[in-house]
Amino acid sequence: MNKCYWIFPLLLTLLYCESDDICPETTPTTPRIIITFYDINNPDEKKTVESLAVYAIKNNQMNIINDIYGINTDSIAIPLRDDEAFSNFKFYKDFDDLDGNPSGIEDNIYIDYEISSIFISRACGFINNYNLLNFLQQDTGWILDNLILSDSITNENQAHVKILH
Amino acid sequence: MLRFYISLFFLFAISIGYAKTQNNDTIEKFGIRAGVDLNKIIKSATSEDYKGLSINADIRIKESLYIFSELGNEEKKINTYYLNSNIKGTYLKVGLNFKLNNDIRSENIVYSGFNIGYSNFEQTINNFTIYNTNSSTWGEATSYDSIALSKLNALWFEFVFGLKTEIFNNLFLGFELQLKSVVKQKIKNDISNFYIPGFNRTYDSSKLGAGFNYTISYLIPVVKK
Repeated sequence: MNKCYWIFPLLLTLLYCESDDICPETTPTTPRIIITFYDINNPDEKKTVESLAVYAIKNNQMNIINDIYGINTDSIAIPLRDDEAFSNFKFYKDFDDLDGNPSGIEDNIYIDYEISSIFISRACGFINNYNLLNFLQQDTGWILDNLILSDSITNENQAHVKILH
Repeated sequence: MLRFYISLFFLFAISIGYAKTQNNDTIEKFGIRAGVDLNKIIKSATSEDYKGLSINADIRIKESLYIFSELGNEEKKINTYYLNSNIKGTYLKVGLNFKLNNDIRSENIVYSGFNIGYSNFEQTINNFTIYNTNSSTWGEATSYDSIALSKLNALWFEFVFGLKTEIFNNLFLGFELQLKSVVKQKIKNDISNFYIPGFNRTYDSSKLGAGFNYTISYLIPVVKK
């Protein structure tokens, strides 16, 4: 019996070493809204936007969304604001950046939604899911129409909104 | 670091207790041994995040068999990068301890045993920062709407191993290691219980837990034979 005593402290050491206080990078994060672009003349055909740039507008400040900065694409994923239940964006087509002054054809997008916080784990805490209420565009720019495909934003697996241009 | 030195001190004190050669004292003391957990008192004094107290008692019912019980109250703050929470509640443990040594003086004991523990507690998440790897666009958002999860409970089983040594007449110093496993727990809003009073912290990845204590206890002799 005496010889077995050491097993117990060993088990305890192993247990203390197993730490799950650090949020692993592989943990599913708060989803972004997925927007796909379609042809106004042929609403079932995807249509690439030439040189697209998207800015997030917060307190009259424009912040470029890093990976959407003059790219040609037919779909984008953009993060929503978590501290308010609405987000403002400026979408540029034929974008060019002249010494920090963005140029191109612009359009304002206003999205409002309900936020629900979902518990993930002790280390990562909570993520947000959204329920889309409105997706509004300014009617003066290059975006001609839009359609909400799925109002529940819980993952990034499918498009949530279709933009026609 | 302070706690490390305190641990060393207790281990040292216990080993001295054992090293002392005692007269062949054949008196077998039966009675109630009542004590407090010194570790909880030390942690309460040295840590901002913890407040706790527990009392315990054991009764020797047979040559090598003790009935053990512990009653305690704990309050613990669990803070991670993403959340800030507070857990408080009371617990009760009941169990059996078996004395393993029979060659050493009878009141210095090495024992092993098992306990059943039950806790009633509440957990409050005071604030949390949304986990969002795309937060560079809008900045991180923190919610200060606290989430109160009350009337939680947990039942667990623990396997213990410990030492007790008589430092003065009828006064004992003890050290105990505990390995535990949650049997059942009540969870609200799908939010896991980060800490269970009496059980110690929990792990997302397993039901197991661990803990230790230092006790100081006094034996009230009831029967001498």
